[in-house]
Amino acid sequence: MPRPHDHLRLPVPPSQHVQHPAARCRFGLSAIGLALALLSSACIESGEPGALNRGRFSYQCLDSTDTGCDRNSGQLPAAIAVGSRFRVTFAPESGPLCNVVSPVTSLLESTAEGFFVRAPGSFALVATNVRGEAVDFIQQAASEIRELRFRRDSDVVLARLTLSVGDTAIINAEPFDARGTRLAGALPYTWQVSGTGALTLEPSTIANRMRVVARSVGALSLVASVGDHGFTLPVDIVAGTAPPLPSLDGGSELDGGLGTDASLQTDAGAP
Amino acid sequence: MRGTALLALLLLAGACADDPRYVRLDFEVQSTAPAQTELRSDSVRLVAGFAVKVRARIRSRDEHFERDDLLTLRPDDPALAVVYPGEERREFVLVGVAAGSSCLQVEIEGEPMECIALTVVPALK
Repeated sequence: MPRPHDHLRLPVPPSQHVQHPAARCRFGLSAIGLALALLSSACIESGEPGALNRGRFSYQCLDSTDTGCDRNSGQLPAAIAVGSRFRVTFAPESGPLCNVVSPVTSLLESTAEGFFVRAPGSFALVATNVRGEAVDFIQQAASEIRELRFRRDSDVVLARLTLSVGDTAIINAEPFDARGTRLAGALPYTWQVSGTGALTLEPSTIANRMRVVARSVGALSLVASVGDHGFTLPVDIVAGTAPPLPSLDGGSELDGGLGTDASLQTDAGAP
Repeated sequence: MRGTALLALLLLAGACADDPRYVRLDFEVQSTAPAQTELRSDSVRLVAGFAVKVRARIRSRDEHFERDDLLTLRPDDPALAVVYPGEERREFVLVGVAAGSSCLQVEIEGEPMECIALTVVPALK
């Protein structure tokens, strides 16, 4: 059946309908080249430009507790927590790769993996080339943690957690400063429970995330600590409809989709 | 004889002191910086924790210094500030490290010219 624009087509000898292997190869190479170019432009666009526009600084998380990598965009966070670790890299627009250093050593300690934040304040991160010349720089702030906010899912901040016996929940802790700015940086978290009743803690591979299982009725405190600071989430466990305790081979979805083993596995694998 | 020796000593001392043909440095700020930052020929004020890029111009009598003469800026007290050379000659990135006062040594081709008063002030909260 003739197609609408067939009359516009030039007659093509049958031999030209068969693509030559070399042509296919050229097409393949072009496609690879295009993909590499797209990938390269995507890499260049990650992070944010330095103060001198000579390249882009990218923030990198050193572990999964760092909330600064939620968007995975390389953007530098508004502030980084005192006591945390992080890494920043610099990709120059041209020329060899640069080191990122900070001379503000009272606030920032340089480590083998990146930086450790010693104290609150502002500090410059300077990208230097092999000759020690400053290529670009960027300013960053560090703040003390004043609050850990507990979330039962990605949106709801908890002031108090109520569970029925048998419930499970996954609790995330996120650090904030006195101004309410969420702080980035990899932090060492420890969790403990105090009070009556029984709440079982089941650590995940992400230290600021804890799976809790209500075992018996009571009022207690779930305490997440970062460094010397402990932050408490009051937990009430009430007698519920006595749903079965989740088992390790699939669990039960008792509280709005939270707390199944499957979701724990999925979340634990997330960056 | 004694007078000649004294004159020779004075001339030698003069030669070792700051170059009389050097007049001053002029700074041109090339990046954004906190409002407290100030770069003048006779005094430099930085903010602790903050960096600023500057281009320095040598002012001299009779255009004495060559375009390619190496200009070096070096904080007298490295605990207060750090100076990185830029990629271009006579460009520098100055970073205030800790609050305090000192001076910024100016050297041309390794010869000391002057020490500009340097103050690093704490950042505003």
